[in-house]
Amino acid sequence: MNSIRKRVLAALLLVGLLPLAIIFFSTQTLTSRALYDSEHDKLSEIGHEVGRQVAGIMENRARDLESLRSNPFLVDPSATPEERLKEMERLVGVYDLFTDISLYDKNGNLVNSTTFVQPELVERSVWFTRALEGKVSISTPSALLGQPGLHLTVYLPVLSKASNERHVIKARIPFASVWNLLDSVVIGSGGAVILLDHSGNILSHRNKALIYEKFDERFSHQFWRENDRGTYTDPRGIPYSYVAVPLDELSTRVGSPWTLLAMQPASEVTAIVNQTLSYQLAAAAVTLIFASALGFFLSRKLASPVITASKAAQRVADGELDIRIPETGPIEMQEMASSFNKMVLEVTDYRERLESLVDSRTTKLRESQKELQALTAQLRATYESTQEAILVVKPDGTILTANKRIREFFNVQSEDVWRMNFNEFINEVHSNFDNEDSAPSSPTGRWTFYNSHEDGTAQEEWKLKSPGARSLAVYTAPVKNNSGEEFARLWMFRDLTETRELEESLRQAQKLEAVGRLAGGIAHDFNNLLTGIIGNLSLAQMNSEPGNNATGDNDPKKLIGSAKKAGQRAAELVKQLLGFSRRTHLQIDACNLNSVISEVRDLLVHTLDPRIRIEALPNDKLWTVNADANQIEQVIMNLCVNARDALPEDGGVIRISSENIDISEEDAERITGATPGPCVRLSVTDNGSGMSDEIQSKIFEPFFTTKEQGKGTGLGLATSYGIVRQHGGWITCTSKLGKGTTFHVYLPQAYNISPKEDKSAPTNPSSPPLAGGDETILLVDDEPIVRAVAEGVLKQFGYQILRASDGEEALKICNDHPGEIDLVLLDLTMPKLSGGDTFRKLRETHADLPVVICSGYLVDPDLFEKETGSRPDAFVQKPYQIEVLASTVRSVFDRAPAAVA
Amino acid sequence: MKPVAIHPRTGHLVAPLLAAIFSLFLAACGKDQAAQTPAHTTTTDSPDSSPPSIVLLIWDDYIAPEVLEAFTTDTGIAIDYRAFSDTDELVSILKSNPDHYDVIVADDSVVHLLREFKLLRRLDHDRLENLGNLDPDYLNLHFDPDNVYSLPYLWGTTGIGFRADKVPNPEESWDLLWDESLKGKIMMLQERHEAYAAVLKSLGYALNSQDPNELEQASEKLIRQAADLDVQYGDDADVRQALIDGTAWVALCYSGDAFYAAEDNENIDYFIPREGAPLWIDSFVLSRDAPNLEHAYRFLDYMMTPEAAAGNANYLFYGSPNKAAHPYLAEELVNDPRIFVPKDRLAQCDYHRKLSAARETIINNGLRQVFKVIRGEDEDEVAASTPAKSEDNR
Repeated sequence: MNSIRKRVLAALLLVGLLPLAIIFFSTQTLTSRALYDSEHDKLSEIGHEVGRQVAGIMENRARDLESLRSNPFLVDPSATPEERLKEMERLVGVYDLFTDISLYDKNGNLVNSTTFVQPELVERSVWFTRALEGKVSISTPSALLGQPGLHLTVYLPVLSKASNERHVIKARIPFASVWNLLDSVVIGSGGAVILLDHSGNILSHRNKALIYEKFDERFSHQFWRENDRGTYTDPRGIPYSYVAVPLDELSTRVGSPWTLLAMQPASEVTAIVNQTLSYQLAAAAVTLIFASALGFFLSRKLASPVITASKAAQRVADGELDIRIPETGPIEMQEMASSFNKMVLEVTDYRERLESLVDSRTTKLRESQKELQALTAQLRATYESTQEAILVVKPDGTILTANKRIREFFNVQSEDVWRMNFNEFINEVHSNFDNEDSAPSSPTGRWTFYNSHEDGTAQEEWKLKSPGARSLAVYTAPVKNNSGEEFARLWMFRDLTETRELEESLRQAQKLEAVGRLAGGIAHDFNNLLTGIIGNLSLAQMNSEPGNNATGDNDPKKLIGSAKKAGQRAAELVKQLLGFSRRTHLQIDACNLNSVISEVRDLLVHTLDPRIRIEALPNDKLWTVNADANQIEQVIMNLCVNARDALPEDGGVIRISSENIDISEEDAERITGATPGPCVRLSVTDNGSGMSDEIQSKIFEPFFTTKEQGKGTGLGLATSYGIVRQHGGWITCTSKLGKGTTFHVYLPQAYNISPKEDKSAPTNPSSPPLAGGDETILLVDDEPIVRAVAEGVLKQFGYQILRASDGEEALKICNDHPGEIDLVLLDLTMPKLSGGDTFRKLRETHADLPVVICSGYLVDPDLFEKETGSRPDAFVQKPYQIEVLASTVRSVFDRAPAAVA
Repeated sequence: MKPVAIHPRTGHLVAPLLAAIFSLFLAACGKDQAAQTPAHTTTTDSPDSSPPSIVLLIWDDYIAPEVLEAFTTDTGIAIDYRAFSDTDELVSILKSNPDHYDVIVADDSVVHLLREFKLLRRLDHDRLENLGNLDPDYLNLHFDPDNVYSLPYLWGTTGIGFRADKVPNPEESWDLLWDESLKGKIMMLQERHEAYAAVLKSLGYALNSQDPNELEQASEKLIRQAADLDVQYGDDADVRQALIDGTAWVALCYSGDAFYAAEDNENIDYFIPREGAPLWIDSFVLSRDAPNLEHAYRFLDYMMTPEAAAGNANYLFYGSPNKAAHPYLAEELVNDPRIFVPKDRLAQCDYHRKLSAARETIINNGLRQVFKVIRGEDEDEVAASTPAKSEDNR
């Protein structure tokens, strides 16, 4: 309504349409009222006519009653019940009027009836009581069992002469005539006449299912009395025009009034009204069109100069600054045009100046933007070219950025890692890890841990099994903004696989070197022990010849005992060497390094010159570290070998100790490679020759050695240093010439992890009394001496012995003696068919035959099972003591738990 | 171009004037029309000034007085207790004045009859909060699917009540009612279906037999019983009294009536004959034109509380169809196999089923003759006056 033109138009329409509207509505109201009135009058006429006819029907029923009353056969007091029954049957048969007639005595007992369907054997109704009092009455319409429709019942007193008592005749008359009348009335297409009793029950309705249902409980009998016409809305909301016609007791003759409702849906009445309305609407529409045309023309005339000005202003606003309004027309318009044109000139000027300013600023902005883009691209390229995989995660788990190496390292399928949530990322990659459970020590566990520990910084090493076996150096640290707030966590991964492989081979070489170097000492010890064995045995041989009854120290039994003792010591020595030199799989685990100390100590005690004292001082409450215990063992071993070399010929002390220590920030800065925080420190101290500062500065360099040619490779300390760095730790050395040297190995404490339970072998069960047996045992060994010893031992215990010198022969014997062999004692290292293959074939062909493996090598039961598919019934480690062999064999026979030697 | 002048003053005066005139006119029309349309005043239960009450139509002494007192105390609604003695009387008086009664107690066959007569009112289940207390085993039965009209009140059997001091250890059979040695001491219930159930069962036929031959045999046996054994007929109160004072030693009797009478005479005992017996449920129903509907619903809901239901069952020695009432039932009631009938015995029992007109004709005729014999009218004369069978075809 804001334009002048619209206002003018509205004013014209208002003046034209208002009177029209008023006339329209008033006519409409008057017409519809008249129509409604006439419909009601029609309804009222019908209603009253029907009412009169219903009253007529009821009057006829009363006459029927009178006809009974005047029937001489029925009312004659001298008539017998039988005569009466005969007449009743005649009446029922002849006239179609009565449904049935019954006769009752004064006590209400049935005397006779023309029917036996629910005649009521006993009558106690009010109408019956009235009849006994001599009154004639008609009951309200009621239903009968098995009879359709409703029935009126008339009660008529008669005298019985025989008993001089009053009897009552009861006759039932169908109510159908009232129904037929009402059903025949037609009011429009949806109208009806309904008869209600004084309790609001429907007595007559086209829908017979509604008989004796309540018409509408919202409206009482009294309501229809007081509102005899109007609009009635049924419970479904449909409105009706109705007229209520009361029928009083005199008309109904049943002792209570009825109501007749004539009704017609209001919609039918409205339909007529609506037709009139549509004519009036058409007239209104014509007027509206005329008024609109007039208004359109006038408003256009009035508003055209203003519209011209407004269009010009619009074009100026759109930037056409050369537009001018012609200064013509009415004075007001001329003045307005002049001011407008002046204003346009000024705007043009301002606009030109503004545009040149904006241009220069925009150019500058674009340049700096370009520089920024170039810089970002460079940074991005650099970041994508690094060897490291980089992942930056926000605390809420959103991945802020990730370079392409992340996808490469972790085999992530999704193109856009940075679109993933961190949890989704972990879910996708966690199965790639070697250790894919979610224990705290697994990568998933570590990941979760650091994500919830904002300040944690770590350098760790994780293992991947897919897309290929890889070692990853992991670095994580919080990322902080200028004000020191952490806004993300950085994860960097470097592929260490090749480095680790190189290190592994170096370590192995170094280990062999250490064994080699130890072997010098061991050879000495071993020669001593062999001297003891050979010497004692030779003496025993000499003294056991017939006639030579030596006693005391030369008693052959005693000599052999000494030889055996020396042999056992040699066996112990070999076992430890085997244990040290065996190739192990790298396994970083949470562990307590005190176990390392005790193992190194045990090894040294046997291999070093007995004049050297080994002291172990473990701290009982040592913290847990993440480490490969075997590697750390090698480090300590290297340090101890170095210490031994520094000791004088006549012995000295090597002390191995462990302790917990907290590295302060200052300490960390002072020492190369050190990081602050809690650490475990292992120390190896000797009281040997010590080192000069010059030597100290070179000790960790590869191939630096102070030892004479052939005694050392110069790799020991360098390898040790590498191993410790790899664990995130470092080594320091303090030494004074002539006083001794101490090496400290520092390893950071493992966060939040407790060490795995020590799965060391169970303690040897107390040896049972040695028992033998008579079972047959097949001995398989390529070494005749060993075979002979085993045979001797087992025969001693009563067993039957079969022999085989290799796997093939063993299988043949087994097949040739089916069911005879009770156990196989099997060597592993043999020509033709190895022990492992023989074992596998035996398991295939003789699944129930017990097999005991006897080998000079250390056998890992898990590894053995992996290679051959099942476990043997027991292991015996060579060289064995006869008690061990005997008890193991017996225990297998006795199905006792196999003792694994 | 000169602008067209508008004269606002004239415009502003004319429009309101016109509007005022027509609005007056409209208002007058509207008022007229409004006067024609009746206001939709709703009529609720008449808020009378007299104290609230309901009319209860029920057998004599068939509800625990203390339950009724508790109801009146709790709700302030008084009970107008009206007793009837048999089905015919109930139908008669209810037909006469359906607007005089609110709540009626009737057995299953009568509920069916009253429905046929259109004398009952549909129940609004939403107004019955305690409906859930009722045992579903006693709901939705043949005489009133979905319990549109009725709510179960008590259940029981119709068997034989007897005086254990006069008839010690009788054989548990319907034949006892035809035992010649008990001549003059036998009583029958005047409810026609109960009498016919007894005689049909004694003949070895089904309770609801429709076979005209079987029914004629039953009528004959009842007439003979009336003539030869001096049988008395009466309503349930008559039967109780006769057993108590020894007028009758054996009687066709409702189970609870026998136990109720035993309170007055400990020699009275009851059995369910081994041939099987009628099983029935008495129900609450509302009269079609009940005048105190609101109060009547409160009464029905109250009667379904566990306490009220148990109170009635304990008082009348009948089974209660109220599941929630079971914890409140007297132990001797629950443990009595004659009241809480075991399943195997119950399997022999049956409800009275919907009856055909043909069956009704035979039964009514038969019983009319029985009553005539009892009233001392000549049996032969009665037989001669029996109407021709073609009569009931209409």
